[in-house]
Amino acid sequence: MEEFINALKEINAALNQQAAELRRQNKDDEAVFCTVRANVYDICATVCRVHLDKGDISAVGGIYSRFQEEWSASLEAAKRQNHAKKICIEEMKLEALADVCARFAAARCE
Amino acid sequence: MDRNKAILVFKCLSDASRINIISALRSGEAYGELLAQRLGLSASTLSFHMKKLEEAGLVTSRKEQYYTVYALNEQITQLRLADLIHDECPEEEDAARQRENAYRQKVLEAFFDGERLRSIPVQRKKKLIVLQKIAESFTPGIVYDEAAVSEIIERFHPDYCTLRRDMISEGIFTRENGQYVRIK
Repeated sequence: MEEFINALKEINAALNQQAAELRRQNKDDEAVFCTVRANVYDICATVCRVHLDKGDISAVGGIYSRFQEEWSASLEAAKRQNHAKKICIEEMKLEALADVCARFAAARCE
Repeated sequence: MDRNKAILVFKCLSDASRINIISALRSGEAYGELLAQRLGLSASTLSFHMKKLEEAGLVTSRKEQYYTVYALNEQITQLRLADLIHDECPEEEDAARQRENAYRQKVLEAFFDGERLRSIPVQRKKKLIVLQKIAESFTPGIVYDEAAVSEIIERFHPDYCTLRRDMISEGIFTRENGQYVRIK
């Protein structure tokens, strides 16, 4: 599980670096999207760290599922409002979360 | 172009990726997927940028079965910068005119006592308003000799020499061989 958390932290750092580079290239909207993805990895790593320290790693999967439900609902709301930026942000969050969940499942199997 | 629309265009163009998209579309219309691939953008990011470009009127789109084809809106992209920033805001023009009229009225009330000019303003903007008011007593295009000009100006203020000279230097009158003609 330590490896899983470290991997998320590494992805978070790489994405933050990428966001800074995008900002430097005057691609501000994409920099925001990149930071959003970075935050997802950061949040998920923190959730896992806290529960790992408490010896309650089985709760992590449920929390990730709750994130997935809430962000899916936000995406649907953004689509109803035809809010292009929010749609993009929610899609990015869900995409990053799907990657986290896949990595988490793989780490649990090990 | 409407000012708000122009602001939308400028905001939209303040992003390198959207400039890249416009640049790519200059060679002709393109499928969204192809554009995303060519510019190294994800489908959702491209879709976001295209929405912004469409909102600003820079790009048009049409559906072809499952795909979206994008094209430049040449009517907007061919405009010169001067056309985009051309002021077409009638409300603001009206407001500016009203402010100008109110200021003019204030100056006239401060410097005139009925038909008499209390004093000659020192500030050029105020002096110009006063001179224009006096100039209304002259018919444009009519030739006046110096005595007639002095007599008319003297009705407003005893220092007609200064006022007459100022009216010439401000281009309100032309003077040739002692003959005066109001030109504005």
